[in-house]
Amino acid sequence: MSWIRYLIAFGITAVIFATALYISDRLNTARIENIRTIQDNIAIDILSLETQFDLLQELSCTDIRENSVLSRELANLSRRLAYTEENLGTENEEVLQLKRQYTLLQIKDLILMRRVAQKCKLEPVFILYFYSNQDDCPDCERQGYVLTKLSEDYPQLRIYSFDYHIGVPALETLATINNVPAQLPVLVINDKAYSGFKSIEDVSGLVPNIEDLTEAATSTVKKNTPSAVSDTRERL
Amino acid sequence: MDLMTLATHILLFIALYTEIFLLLAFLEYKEKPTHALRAYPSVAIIVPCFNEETTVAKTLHSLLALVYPHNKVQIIAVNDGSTDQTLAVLQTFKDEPRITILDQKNAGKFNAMNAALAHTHADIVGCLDADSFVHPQALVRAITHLETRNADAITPAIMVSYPNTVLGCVQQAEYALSVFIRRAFDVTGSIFVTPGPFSLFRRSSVVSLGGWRHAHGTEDMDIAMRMQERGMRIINAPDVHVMTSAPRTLRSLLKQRTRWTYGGIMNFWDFRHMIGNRKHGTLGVIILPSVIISIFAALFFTAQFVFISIERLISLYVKIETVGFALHWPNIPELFFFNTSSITIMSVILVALVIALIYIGKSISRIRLHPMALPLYITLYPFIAPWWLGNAAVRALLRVQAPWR
Repeated sequence: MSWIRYLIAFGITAVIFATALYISDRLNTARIENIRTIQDNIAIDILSLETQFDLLQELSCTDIRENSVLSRELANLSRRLAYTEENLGTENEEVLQLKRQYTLLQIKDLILMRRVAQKCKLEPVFILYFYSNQDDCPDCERQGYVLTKLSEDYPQLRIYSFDYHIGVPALETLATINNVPAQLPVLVINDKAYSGFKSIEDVSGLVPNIEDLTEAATSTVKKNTPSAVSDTRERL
Repeated sequence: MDLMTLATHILLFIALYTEIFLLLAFLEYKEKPTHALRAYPSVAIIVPCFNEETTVAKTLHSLLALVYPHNKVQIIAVNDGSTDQTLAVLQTFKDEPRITILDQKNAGKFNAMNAALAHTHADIVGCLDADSFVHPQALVRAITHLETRNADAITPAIMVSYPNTVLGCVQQAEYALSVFIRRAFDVTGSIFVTPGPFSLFRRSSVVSLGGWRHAHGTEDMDIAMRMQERGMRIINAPDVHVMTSAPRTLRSLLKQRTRWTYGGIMNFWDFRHMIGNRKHGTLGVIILPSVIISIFAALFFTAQFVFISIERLISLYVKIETVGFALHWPNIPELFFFNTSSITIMSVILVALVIALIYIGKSISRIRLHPMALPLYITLYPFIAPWWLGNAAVRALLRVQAPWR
């Protein structure tokens, strides 16, 4: 028996294996960096918009609404974050960290959009979706499908999704002020919380004049509505 | 890393290690020059037949066309109680002096082989399944290798005779891979199957083993394992070409492979004392354990695939039930969403290595692969092989013999 051959084969296999693990790790790191960069950009966008808003109270509504890049970036971020979570696992610390930042960005965006709506005398529909990745929400998967479908059909709906157990104090405050119960999924539509699964018909019934929201976000400037920030994910 | 991911990584590591080990062995091997035969040993080729009326005549004609001194070749065709016209076909060769026809009640291939063995005193005995055909130079090449390397048995390069169907293409690539594997096994002294199509043995070696015996429908593995057990030498010659009729329907392929795999598992059990046994060299330490692990790995990966597929189908069903069915244009793939997990990267490396090994097999045996052989093998084999592996594993657990046909 040639022990040398066994050892050389083992060495080559170990090197190939280690290389595969290293490449995979590097690519995952690059992915997380990509998400972090997008989040940083969004944070800057939000900050910029807030600053503009504070500086120029008389800023025209059109000027603010033209910052529609934000909505696309948030949706883009959402897809990437969901994919990364699926691959690295819901317990991955880096994923959790990114999700916490994402949660805060969404809350900041929600607050800003509410201010924009107030200033521009608009009546947008905000849907806050509280879900869970744990076993306490068997209907969250179906609820996610409903919201994705609604966001496709009504691009002007502003849907924000929050992992109920993410452990961000600001989210807990948001849940408290909206009276979000522990029975998930929960939808908060125009400041009113609804617990349990809601079908497309149910949600459509709860959103006033939903048929007016069918036009794509790109047309919002003409319609004098704020730039859309929608999260189309099923679960994140 | 969860338990399943860890198990997947370990199995991928073992699979990669085995492939690299065989590749290294193959690359290290230097072909010894063969000497021209000074004397031609006498040879008896046994053709066991059970319901082979459509192919046996072609098999016998290919044997009669062998380039070898006529007075040194005996062909013994054994009708093993066929219920079709096999015997009548054999009788048409009764005037051929090199052919001896034996007729027996159906008693199995090993009995047919032993009956023929008792009818000959040739130096070398061989077997040729009645659905296979030899190249005219096959015998002289095989005997030259056998004599030069002073081996007890020799196995050929087996090819698919008509790879003009989807399954034929799949099997052609598979057989090309087998050509490489047999060669690498030869280099490491680990050949553990002497297949029915044209394996040749020294008669004295077979007699010393007590001939062939019943062995779960895979007697060609049993005799090779017994030879290995006793330290006899089995070699392979990729230039000894044999064509075999590969199953043309999925049903017959599944049946054949279930029998092979079932017999393999049962033989592994019979010879379990050799597994992991350093006394039996690479065969005991590397090859036998890795073959067993590969069966387990294939079933493990299939179970994972089925589980994930069912999960996704359930999700799809829930989605359709919840929001209805809608067709979307597929998104342009972004690099970000490419699966770059270590398991995916390892799987790609493994598949690439398998493709390289198939090409080595093709190259050393000078097979012309059908253009569709490789794509069909890569795409279909992972889905069809688990059927016979699973079927055979269950049969082995329940001790239910896989039927011959």
